[in-house]
Amino acid sequence: MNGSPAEARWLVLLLRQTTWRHWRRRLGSTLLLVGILAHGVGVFLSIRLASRAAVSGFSLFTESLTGESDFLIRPVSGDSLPEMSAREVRQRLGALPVAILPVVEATAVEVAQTLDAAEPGPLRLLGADLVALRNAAGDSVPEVSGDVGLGRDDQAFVSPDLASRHGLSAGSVFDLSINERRVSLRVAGVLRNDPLRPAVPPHLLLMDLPGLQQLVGRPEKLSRLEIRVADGIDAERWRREARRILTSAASDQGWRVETPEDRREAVAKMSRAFRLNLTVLSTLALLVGVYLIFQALEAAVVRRRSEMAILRSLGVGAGTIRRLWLLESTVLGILGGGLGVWIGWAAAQVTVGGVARTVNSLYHDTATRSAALHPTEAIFGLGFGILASLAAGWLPARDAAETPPAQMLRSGSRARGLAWLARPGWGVVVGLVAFAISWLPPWRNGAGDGLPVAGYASAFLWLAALSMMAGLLFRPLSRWLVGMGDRYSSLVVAGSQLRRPTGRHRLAVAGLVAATGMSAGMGVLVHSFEGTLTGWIGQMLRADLYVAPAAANQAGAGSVLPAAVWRSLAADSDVAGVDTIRRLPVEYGGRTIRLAGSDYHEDAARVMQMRWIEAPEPGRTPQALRAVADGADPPAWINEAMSRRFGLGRGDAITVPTPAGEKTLSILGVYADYSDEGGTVLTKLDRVTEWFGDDGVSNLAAYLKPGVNAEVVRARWQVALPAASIRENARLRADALRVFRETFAVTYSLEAIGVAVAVIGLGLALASLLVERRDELATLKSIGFTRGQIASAAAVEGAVLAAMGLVAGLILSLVLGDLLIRVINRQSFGWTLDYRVPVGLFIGLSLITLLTSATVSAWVGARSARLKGDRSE
Amino acid sequence: MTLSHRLTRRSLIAAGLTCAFRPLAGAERTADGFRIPQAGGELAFPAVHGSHPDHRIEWWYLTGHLFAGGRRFGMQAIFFRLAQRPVLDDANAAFGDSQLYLAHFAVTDVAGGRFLHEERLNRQGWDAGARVGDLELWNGNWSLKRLSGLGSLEDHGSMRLMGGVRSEAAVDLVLETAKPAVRFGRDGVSRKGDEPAAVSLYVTFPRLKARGLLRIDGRDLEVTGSLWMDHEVSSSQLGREQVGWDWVSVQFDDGRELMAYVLRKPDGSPDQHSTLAWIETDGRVAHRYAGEFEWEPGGIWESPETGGRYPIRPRFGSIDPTSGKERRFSLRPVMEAQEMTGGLGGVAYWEGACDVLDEAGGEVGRAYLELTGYTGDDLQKRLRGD
Repeated sequence: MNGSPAEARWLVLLLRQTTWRHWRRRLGSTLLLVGILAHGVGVFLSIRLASRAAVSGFSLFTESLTGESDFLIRPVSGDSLPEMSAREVRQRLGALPVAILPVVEATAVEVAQTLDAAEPGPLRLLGADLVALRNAAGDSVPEVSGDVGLGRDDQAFVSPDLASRHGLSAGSVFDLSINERRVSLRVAGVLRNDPLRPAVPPHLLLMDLPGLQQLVGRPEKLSRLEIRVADGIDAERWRREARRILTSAASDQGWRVETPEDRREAVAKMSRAFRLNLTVLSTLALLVGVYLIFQALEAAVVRRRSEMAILRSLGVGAGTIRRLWLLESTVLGILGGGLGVWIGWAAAQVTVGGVARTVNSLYHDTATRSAALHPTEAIFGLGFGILASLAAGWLPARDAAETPPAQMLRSGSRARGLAWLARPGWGVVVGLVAFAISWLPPWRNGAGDGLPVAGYASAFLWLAALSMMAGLLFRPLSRWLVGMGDRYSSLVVAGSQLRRPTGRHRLAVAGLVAATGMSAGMGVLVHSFEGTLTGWIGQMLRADLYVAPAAANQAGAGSVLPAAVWRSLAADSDVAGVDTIRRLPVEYGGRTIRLAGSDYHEDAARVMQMRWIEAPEPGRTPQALRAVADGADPPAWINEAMSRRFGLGRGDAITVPTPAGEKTLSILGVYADYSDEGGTVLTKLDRVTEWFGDDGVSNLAAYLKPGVNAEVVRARWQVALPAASIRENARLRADALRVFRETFAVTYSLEAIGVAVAVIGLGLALASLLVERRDELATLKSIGFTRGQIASAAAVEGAVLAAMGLVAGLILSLVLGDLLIRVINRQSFGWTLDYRVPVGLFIGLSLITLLTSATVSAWVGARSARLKGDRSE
Repeated sequence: MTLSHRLTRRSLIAAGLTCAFRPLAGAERTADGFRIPQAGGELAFPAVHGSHPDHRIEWWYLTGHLFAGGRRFGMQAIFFRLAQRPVLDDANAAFGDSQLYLAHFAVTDVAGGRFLHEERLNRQGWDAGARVGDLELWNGNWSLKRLSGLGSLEDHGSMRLMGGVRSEAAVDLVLETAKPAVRFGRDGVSRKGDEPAAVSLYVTFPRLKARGLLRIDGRDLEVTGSLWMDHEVSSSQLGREQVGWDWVSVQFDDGRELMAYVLRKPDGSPDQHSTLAWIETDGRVAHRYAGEFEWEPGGIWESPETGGRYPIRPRFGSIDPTSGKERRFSLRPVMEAQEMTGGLGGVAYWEGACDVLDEAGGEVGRAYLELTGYTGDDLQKRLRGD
C-alpha cells in the first residue's frame, strides 16, 4: 500500500489513534518540544530578518521621489563631485534622452527643544534641483517658486512622517544643527508619498540644491549624479549607449559609474561577512533544537514501543510505521516552525537595533529601525523548522519501524543509536582531519571578501570528533565508580550501567558535548573579543575629550568638523594638544576603502599607542613622523583588514586615487583596528588636506592641561557646539563596548538555551533508558533497593554522563574558540584577537550543568521507580 | 502668436510671480522693469534670433510636416523662456533662478495613429539656457542652434534642431531658410491687447526646408519636409478680456503662406486684435485685421483624456492679396488626437498637423492649427488671476 490513498487514510487513522492520544496525554512535554523548536527557528529567523533589514536600510533617498535611476555617478575619491560634472555628462551624452539629476546629501541633527528629543537620530538633507525634479517626479514633488523653496537655504520640504510626528506644516519653523552650526529652517511644504514608489524616508528633508550647498558650506559641490534614461522603445538601447559613454569617460573624470543595484550590492557586500557569521551562529540554535527533538522522539519511541509492537502484530508494515513517525515529525516541525516564525519576527525587532548599530558604525549608513517579516524569510524559517524536525525524527522513525511484532517483544529491547558514536577511536582520526583543514585559506570572491568555509567545516568536524571521543571516558569512569561503590550501592549500579554504554548513553553524551561546546565556544569568542577590544581601547583612547561632528558614528556619513571649529578647539586655553584624523572614502581594488590622514599631539608620552600587527621600524610610527617632512613617497600605515584583504604589508607601495591625481604611498606598518573591516590607509593629515582641498577633520581628541576638569571643558564646548558628540574618555570607552555587547547580545540567549537543552535532553535520554531497563529496575526493587536508592543511582548516572559531556564539551569549546578567533574572524574581518578563556563562565556552566543534570536524573529515576512499582506483577 | 497667455500664466504659477500688468503709457518698461517691444526700431542680426532676457516672455516655436517615403509625420518643437527678473545676472550659475525654460516636443505619426509628446521645465543653469546675441537654445537634450547665415531678414541661413519624445522618437534636422524671415504687426510690433505693454516682437521663418533623421519605432528614417518657426518676444502679451485663441500657420503649395490668430472674448466673439496675414512668395506681408477676415469654428472633437471640446475643423476666408479675390479654406486634421494634455500642471490644448482644402475641396497646402481655452474654464480661471 505504498503511497496509495488507502495508505494515506490508514496513516491518518493511526495518527489519530496513537500519536494524537500520546500527545494529548503528555501535553506539557509536547508543548515544550514545540517551544524548543520554535526557539531555534525563532533565533535563526530573527538574525536573518535583522541583518536583512540592516542592509536594506540603505537606499537612495531620491527613489521615493523619482523612482529608481539607471546609473549613479560618484566620485572615485573623496565625497564630492564638482558641479560642472553635470554639464560634462550632458555634453558627453549629446542628444540621448537622458535626465541628469545632480544630488547633494548632508546630515543634520534635530535640536532637541524643537523636535522630538526621544528620537535624536540624524536627519537626511537631500538637495535636488526642485525645478528639474518635477520633470521626473511629477506631482510627488511640490511646486516651488522664489518664495517657496526655490534657491532658498532657509526652507525645506519635510517627509510626511516627520511632519506628522512633530506637527509640522508649511510655515512651521524648526531648528537643526548642521556642521556644528545651529540653523532655523522653515517648512516649505510636506512631501507626499507616491503609492507606486518607496515611501518617503521618515528622516528626509528636501531642499533646493543650491540652497543646501550654501547651507552646508559646500558651494559648487555635488554628492553624486543620478542618470535616468527616458522610457520608450529605444530605452534599452540608449541605456547601453549611455553606460558605454559614461564608463569610457569615467577614469579621466574621476567618476565611478554604477547602477543602483551595483551600489546596493556593494553596500550589502560590505557587511556580508559580518552577517554570514551571525547567520552561522544562529544556525547553532537550530541545531540544538534538532538535538532535543531527536531526544524527545527517541523517548517517545521507547515509551510507545509496545504500541508499535501491537500494530506490527496487527499487520501494519514497518514502512507504514516509519512514515507514521516521520509524519509526526513533520507536524511538530510545522507547529514549531510556525510559532518560530512569529517569535523570530518579534525577536528581530529587538535584534535589529544592535545589528543596525553595528552595521552603521562599521559599514555604512542605515536608517533601519524595524525589521519587516519578509515572506521568503518566513517560508525559509518554516521550511527549516520542518526540515530540522524531519532530520531529528529520522533515527527514531527507523527505530520505531524496527520494532518486532508484540509476540517477539521483550521488555528491554534497545535502540541502536548512531553506530559511528560507538567508535571513539575514529574520533581521533576525524579530529586530525578537522585540525588539518582549519589551516586552509579562506574562500575569496572577486572583491577580496574572505569566507572561512574551511573554518566552519573544521568546526563541525571537531564537533563530531569530540562527540565520538567522549565515549573513551565510559570505561575509566565506570571502573572508578564501581571502585567507589564499596560504600555506596547506587554508585555500583550507575557504574555497571556505564560499563556497558548503550547507543542512547552515547547520544546523550554527544548531545551534551554539542550543547556545552557551542555555548562555551561562543563564550570564548565573546570573551576574547571583549578582552582584546578593552585592551585596544585602553591603548587608543588616551585623550581627555573626544569631539566628533553630529552623526559621526556612522561609517557612511561624510560629516566633518569644519576647520574653523576644530582649530578654535585646539587653540582653547585649557587644551595642551590635539590629535586629529580625517577619513575619506576612496576606491581601491574594486572596493570602497578609507583614506585617513592624522596629526598627533607632540607629547609622545600621552598620545595613543597603536597596536602593531607588523610594527614599523623605530622612529617610523605616525606619531614619530608627524613633524618630519616626507620624501618622495608619503608614508602610509594600513590597518589589518586592509593588509589581509589585499595582501599588503610593510615595505609595499600602495597607489590610491585622490582629486589631485593618483598618489603612491609606501607602507611602513600594519596596525590592529577593530573599528573597521573594510580597510583603511592612514597617512599624514597635511597630505590629505592638500590632496582633497578640504581642511575639515572627522574627529578630534583633546589632551587637557594638567589640573583642568574635563567635564567643565566638555560642558563649555557642548554649549558652543550643541549637536556635536563630545565625550569624555570614560564615556567613549563605555559607548564603544556597548555597541559590541549589543551586537553579541543574541549569543547570550544561545548560551542559556544551550545549557537548558543539554540538560533536558539528558533527562529525556535517561527516562528512555530507565523505561528500557524495566526488568532491571524490578530486580533491583526485589532485592531491596528503595525508591530513593534508585533515584540516587539515576542521579549518579546522569551526573556522570553530564560530566563526560562537559569535559569533552569544554575541550570542544576551546577548539571552537580557537577556530573562531584564529581562522573565522581573521579570515572574514581581518581582525586578530587575543585568545582568552572565560574561566568564570566555564565554572558556572559546569556547576549548573552538573547540578541540574543530577537533579533532573534523580527526578526521572524516582518517577521511573514509582511507575515500575505501581505496575509490577 | 501661439500659446502666449497660457504660458504666461503657467510661468506665473510655476514661478510664483505676482504679475505686474501695469505698464506706464508709452513706457519702455513695465512697472517691474521688463522692456516693452517698441514700434519701429532696427533689428540686429543674428542677435534678434537669440535670447532677450530683459523681456519677460520669449518663445521659439517650430511646427511642421516631415515625410519619409510614403510616411507622413507632424512635429512640434517649442522652447520658452520665462524671466523671473529683468536681468540675466546668473548666466554662469549652475543652478540659477533668473529664468525658467519650458519646452515641448511632439511627433504626430499619421500612419501609426500616434501622437507622442513630452514637456519639461528647467531653470537657468547647467542644463537649460538661451544664448544672448545669437540663436542657440538648449533644454536637457533638446537644442536649436544657428549654423550659418541669417544676417538679415532676407539672408539665407541654416540651423540644427535636435530633440525627441522620451525614448520613443528622436529627430536630428538641418533647417534651411526657403524664404526670407518676416516681421509681423504694424510698425514692427504685434499688438495683442489694449494695454500698452500687450505687444510683441514677432519674427517668423514661414518656410524652413528640413532634412535629416527621424527615429521612431526603433528605426532611423531619412526625412525631408517643411517647418514654420515663430520667434516672439514680449513682456506682457495679452489683454484681460481674452479666454483663449485659435491660431493657424499655413504653407500653400503655391509657395505662399498664411498666418492667423483669433483671440476669443468671454462671450465667444473675436477680439479686435485678431489678425490674419498673407505672405507672398517674395516675402511681403499683407495683414488683415478684425473685420477684414472670417473665421468659423467647426467640427468638434472631444478629448477622452481632458474632456476638452475642440473645434478642429475651422473654416476661414479673406481677400487674396495677389488675385484680389475672396478665398475660403477649410482645415482637415491628419489625426484627431493631437492634444497636449498639460503634464507639468499646465493647461491642455490642441495643436496638430492639418491639410488645407480650398472651396472645391482640393488640397492646396498644409497647416498647423492651435486651439486653446477649450478645456472647461481652467484657462479662464488662471486668466482671472487665480
